Amino acid sequence: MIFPLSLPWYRAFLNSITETKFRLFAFSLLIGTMIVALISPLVIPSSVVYLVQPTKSLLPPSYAHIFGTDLYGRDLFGLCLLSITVDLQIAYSVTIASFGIGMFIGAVAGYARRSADEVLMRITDVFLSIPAFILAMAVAVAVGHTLFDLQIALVVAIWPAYARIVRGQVLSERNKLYIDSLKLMNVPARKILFSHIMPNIIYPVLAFLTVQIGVTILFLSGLTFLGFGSGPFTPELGRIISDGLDNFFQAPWIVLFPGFVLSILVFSFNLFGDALRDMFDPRLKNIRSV
Amino acid sequence: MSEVPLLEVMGVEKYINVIGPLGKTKDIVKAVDGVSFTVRKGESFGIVGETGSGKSTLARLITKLIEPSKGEIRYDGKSILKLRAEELRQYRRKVQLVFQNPYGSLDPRQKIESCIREPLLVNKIRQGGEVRPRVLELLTLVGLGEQHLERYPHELSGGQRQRLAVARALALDPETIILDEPTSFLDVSIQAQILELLNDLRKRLNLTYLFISHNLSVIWYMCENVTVMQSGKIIESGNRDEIFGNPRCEYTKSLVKSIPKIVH
Amino acid sequence: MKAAEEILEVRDFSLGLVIGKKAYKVLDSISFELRKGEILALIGESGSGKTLAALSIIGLLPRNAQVLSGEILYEGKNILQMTEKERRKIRRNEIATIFQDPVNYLNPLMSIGQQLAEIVPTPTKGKDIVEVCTNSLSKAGFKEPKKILRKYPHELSGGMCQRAMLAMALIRSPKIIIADEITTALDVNTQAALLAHLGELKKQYNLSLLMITHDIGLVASNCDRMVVMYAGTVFEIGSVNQVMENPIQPYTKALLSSIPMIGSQKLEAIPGTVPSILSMPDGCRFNPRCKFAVDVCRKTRPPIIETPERVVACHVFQQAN
Repeated sequence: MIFPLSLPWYRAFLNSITETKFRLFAFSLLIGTMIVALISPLVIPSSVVYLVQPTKSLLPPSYAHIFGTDLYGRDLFGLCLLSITVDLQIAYSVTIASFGIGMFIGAVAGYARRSADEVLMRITDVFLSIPAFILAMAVAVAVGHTLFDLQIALVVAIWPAYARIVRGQVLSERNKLYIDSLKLMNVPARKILFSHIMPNIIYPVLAFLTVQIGVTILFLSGLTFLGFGSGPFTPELGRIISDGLDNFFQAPWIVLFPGFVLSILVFSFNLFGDALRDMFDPRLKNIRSV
Repeated sequence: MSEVPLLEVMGVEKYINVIGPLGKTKDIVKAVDGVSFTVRKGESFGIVGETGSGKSTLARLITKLIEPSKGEIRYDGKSILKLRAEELRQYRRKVQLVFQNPYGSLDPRQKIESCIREPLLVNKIRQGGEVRPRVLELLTLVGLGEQHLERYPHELSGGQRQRLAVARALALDPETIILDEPTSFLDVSIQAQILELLNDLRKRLNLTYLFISHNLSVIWYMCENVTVMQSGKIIESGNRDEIFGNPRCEYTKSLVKSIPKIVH
Repeated sequence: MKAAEEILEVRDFSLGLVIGKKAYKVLDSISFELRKGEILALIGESGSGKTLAALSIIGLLPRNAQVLSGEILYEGKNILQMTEKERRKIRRNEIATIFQDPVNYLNPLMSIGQQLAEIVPTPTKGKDIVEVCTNSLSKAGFKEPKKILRKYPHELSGGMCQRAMLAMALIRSPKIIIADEITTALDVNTQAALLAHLGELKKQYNLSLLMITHDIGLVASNCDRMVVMYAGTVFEIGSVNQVMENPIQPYTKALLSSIPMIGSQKLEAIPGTVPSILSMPDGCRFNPRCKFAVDVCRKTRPPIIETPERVVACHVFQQAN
């Protein structure tokens, strides 16, 4: 897919993604979850999250409540859908922020002099030396309890991964011949790095990024599961699951369904990341020298 | 061809550390081992050597992509070893390099027009509205045309890409062009096109060429003075007819012997 | 042209390739023969189809290839109609092939001796295997074959790797060796040595060699006859001396005048580029670039004019004068 530059990128993308059933499925699944995320807040009233109805507490799945109800009498299905929105929102903004930081640091580390690379990488290593989840927790404790604070914690924990991968890609790209060509043309380093190297390495990074979004969702759910975040009225899958754990044996659905939704969500990103990686592979096997 | 020395290479050596499996330097290879020669303004100077002779390393040393371990290189009388940023930029405008590999030397994501425009803008050779006409001028000079402006490198053939590389080198209005095996990757019938183009440009634009190749027939055709390299050293040096007609060293003799002398 | 001494004959062979649901005629009715004990050069630039032709002979075609017509006769039998088992037997024992980049064809994890031993026919055992391998290596030109047995590919130079490949090809004493651009990655001196050696082997063992190359210089000094191919068509066949001194076909003429040689005054470049498989011109495939092209060249395929010693495919030039 890298090569048909002669086609606009969306064309090339569409052609590629429809090539095999696997890719089409992965893409549809992803689009499906995003549509749900977009529509849910418009269709589902916020009373689903905030209205406590003790009489309806812990009802099993039925026609009125497809996933049943939780301890507070809230419709679990509506809750799950709304939390997809929240999860995706947070996952995307965290990814954009941490990718922005990580990419910049990684790019400079990969292209600049050895000394700058060392300094930047040591800083990155400091962050990497602490298991990401624990780091996120530590930051969350320090910063605060809102969902926004959680996002900050996640960004702090996740950016080093991006720095690493971008640095690796930049390192391998900078040795290529066309970079020498550019140096000979007096193109300044800054321009070589951002106008030439970056566009050429973006593809493998994109595949990585997609899977990382799924990881971010897991992270987020993990944190809210442990109690971070803004209390029981946070429509967030991890939170819902942890709230339901106490009553697992009487009402297993309040853990199983959100867990299932969470799995599907993360899975769709993994699958799509796989499909992307597949598409970006050099697919020049058809060309044979004659 | 004047008698004024333009490029002087004196006793240049370049050591390369071979790193062993544990990261320690296992061996030191002398890629270039005491090379000296002079290229005069306006001439076409050939360097013949096989792989491993150090000729490509020499090209990189002269264009300052790498620095020599020992020795001196002078251009137009001035040493180029320790150049400051602005001086280096000036030097690069005078001495350009066309690489061997037309497939690797271009950014695959850059359109042809942008490819030629970039050096013009970066070096402030043209600005604003004057850029595009100059881009077209350069493309026409090498035999490409307006229809190629919006294309990507992979849409061009090897010969066309090499022409593009030449156009790009010319964008900086250089005095000297180093050509590192410019036709080795090209088909035989395209090779002739590129060689004729190079000859034509040299006459028209008054250029000095440093032509590097392992193909003796090409060197014979393109160069006036020839230097033979082997394992980083200069084996023999002289004008073309001397080297080809009356080679003195064994190595040169064996090289010359293996050239087909076909009678038409 | 039915000389009794021919060992391999390609007759009116056409090959198609299926790319993206359309079929393209890549090889257009090519015909040539390899005579016993000769070195035949198959000359062409990239896109000429020479490698495909060679692969067709040994039956190793890509999946999307279709044989459209013609025959490939080895000792009178049509290879194209044999079973895969029979073809494998031929590949193993009768027609050996050596390819361009020896590094790609040698297992980096096995010593040369081990790789040679794999090819030795099964009845041989133990010490005899070593002897067979050593013999093969010295046939290939190694002065100290016993040492080479233990070496690994990365310890050998390019030329030596190529000779190791040659040794592998010679183990089963084939009758034909197909060499596909075996000298491209080598230095000039090594090239010359390797080819000289091949010439000697030819004489000693009465081998027939099919040399595929784009380097006319090599052909001039080493080969007996040559086949000039362009874009999947055979344009000229003849003895090397004759073709070089007196090329008849316009492509051959243009090719020879575009190669720099000692004494060349001016090169005449061939305008244009080799057409891609996807957009072949009608009629003679060289017509857009040919300075002698006339109307009929753009419409129909050039006729093939055969004499015992020369074959020319052209509308315009049909006689050796």
